[in-house]
Amino acid sequence: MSDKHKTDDDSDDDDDVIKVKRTSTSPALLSQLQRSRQYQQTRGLGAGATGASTWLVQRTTALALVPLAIWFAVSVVRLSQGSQAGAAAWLAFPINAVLMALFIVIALRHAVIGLQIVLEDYLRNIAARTAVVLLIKAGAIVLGAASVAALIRLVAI
Amino acid sequence: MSRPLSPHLTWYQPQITSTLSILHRFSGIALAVGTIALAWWVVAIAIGGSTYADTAWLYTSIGGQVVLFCWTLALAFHLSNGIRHLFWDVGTGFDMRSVNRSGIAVLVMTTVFTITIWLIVLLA
Repeated sequence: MSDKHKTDDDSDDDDDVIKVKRTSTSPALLSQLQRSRQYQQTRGLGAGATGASTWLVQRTTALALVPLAIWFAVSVVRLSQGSQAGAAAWLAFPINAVLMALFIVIALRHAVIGLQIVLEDYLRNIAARTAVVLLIKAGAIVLGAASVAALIRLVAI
Repeated sequence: MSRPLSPHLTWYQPQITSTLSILHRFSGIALAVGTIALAWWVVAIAIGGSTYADTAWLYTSIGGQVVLFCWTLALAFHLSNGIRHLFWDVGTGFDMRSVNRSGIAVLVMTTVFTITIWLIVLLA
């Protein structure tokens, strides 16, 4: 009985687990649930329909960005100190242009997912959230397209 | 619908775990905003002329270099803590001892990475 109102101070982490006795669902309740509109509508959709693939894209882009970001950080800070001709010549070299295009596009894909998750966590209004997410996605597409177009131009010259 | 949202920042006593988690988000947001400056820089190089001259003036000004330093710091941190997250994703390092130690490792790696980038730049 003394355990009932145990404080956090004198308990181990394991004591936080609440033990619930397993009970079987009544057949009447189960059939009522299965016939409900909510159950029929959401059946087979999974947790959020596309949640798992978004999670996976966030991780695979993160993995690709590890080597790309190291290459990128050193290159860009160095180039930003030099001349336009130097930076243009450097980006005109196809390997640099391709790596730069990959970095920007993959970073934008990664950023869109991250920003969307932050908004989903803290912005309650669904209409406002959807609008902001769409704006971010549109902005990312514009940035990506403009960067790739600029890089193609630099390589082609 | 008024479902509960994620706990807000002020609810927690600061610890290395929660602080790094919050910094991961803040640095991520900062890097996303910084990508606009990066994309503009690439476009400005392609345009050239006075457009590049103005951009280069802004980016190499003292304010621009301070922002660039903060940007590399954010990148170094987000990269280091991101690698820590990838280890968690494969299921290792979840016990409190490992979490605290990897948190300190992230701070060390962030410092080393940032200093290395700027040493390469300033010595080149």
